[in-house]
Amino acid sequence: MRPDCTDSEIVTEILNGRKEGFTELVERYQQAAYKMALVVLRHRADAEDAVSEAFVKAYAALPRCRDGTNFKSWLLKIAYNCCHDILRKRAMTGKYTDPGPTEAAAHEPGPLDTVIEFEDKQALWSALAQIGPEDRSAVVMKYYHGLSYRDIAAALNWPLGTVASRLARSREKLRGILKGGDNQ
Amino acid sequence: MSDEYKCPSPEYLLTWLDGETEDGPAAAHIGGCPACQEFIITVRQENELLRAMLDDIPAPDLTSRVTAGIEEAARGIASLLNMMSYLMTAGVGFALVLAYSFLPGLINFEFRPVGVVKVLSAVDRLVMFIAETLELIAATIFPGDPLIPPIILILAVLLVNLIGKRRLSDV
Repeated sequence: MRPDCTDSEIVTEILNGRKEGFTELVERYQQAAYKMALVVLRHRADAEDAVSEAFVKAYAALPRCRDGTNFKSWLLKIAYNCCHDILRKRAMTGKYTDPGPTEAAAHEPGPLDTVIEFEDKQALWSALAQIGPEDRSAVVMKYYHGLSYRDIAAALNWPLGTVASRLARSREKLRGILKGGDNQ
Repeated sequence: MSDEYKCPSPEYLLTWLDGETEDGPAAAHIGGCPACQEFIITVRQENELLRAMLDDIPAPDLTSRVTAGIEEAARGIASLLNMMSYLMTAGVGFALVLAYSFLPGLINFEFRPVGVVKVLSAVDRLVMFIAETLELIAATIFPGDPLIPPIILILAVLLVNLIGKRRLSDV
């Protein structure tokens, strides 16, 4: 890993033939993509499939990631599309049931977690299940990955003005659920 | 709450907090409004909780899986290109044999407009030129009486395979 190298420098190197440089991009962004995929799909194995596929697709489409393209948001867009494909397959087979926090988030309380903090996290995880996958991904893209509204609009094919309203609605709904109401 | 300005909508407050809107009169209001401040504190706490929740989730190392996927995809593309090169070979060979056999007859066919005859003649001359060049090469490599269409076909196969292999080496 070369932390001093920017994404676009690595992309240029790969396009100039140093193909092993792609491993650096995978190491850099696999966690980000995985966490978004997990929130969207709520299933670890499916999230791993989506992220692996996203990186393979990103590698094939790398010549289209030109100067000025934010690699992270470009990758997250591809990852979201892969998640969307999996969601569509689930809808067709109708076999998926949400495994709940133990299967999906699957984390034990950390040494610094109080019981209340751990319960809050579990409550948030469960609340996220009650907003749609697109809204979940928008929330994660904005409040975990720090993407701009413009990048989110591009990733989810939403009009720019829709991002603010949908984020606000999702946040309001999550707040309502966390406070104890179902806010449906 | 400030008297000068009504509290902005939660959507506006969120957009402002996300740094996605310009500081306007509402921004001045937010600083002095306890209700807006309370909303902002709640949103920030929720953001912290989301970050902490996602930070805690362990992520697997997918590097080797991605590498294997890329290699598999490259093999798939290579075999597709290989198949396409064979299809192109067959197509080019077939087209050359057809052109070599039927173009002279088409040119001599009656009631053709002059323009069509000229174009066909030009194409015919080009095909003949290619054929004669290939014939010359074939005659040099295989002295005697070369069977032109099969030789052209073989040379076309070699040519297209050469192009196909060059493309494969780029994969």
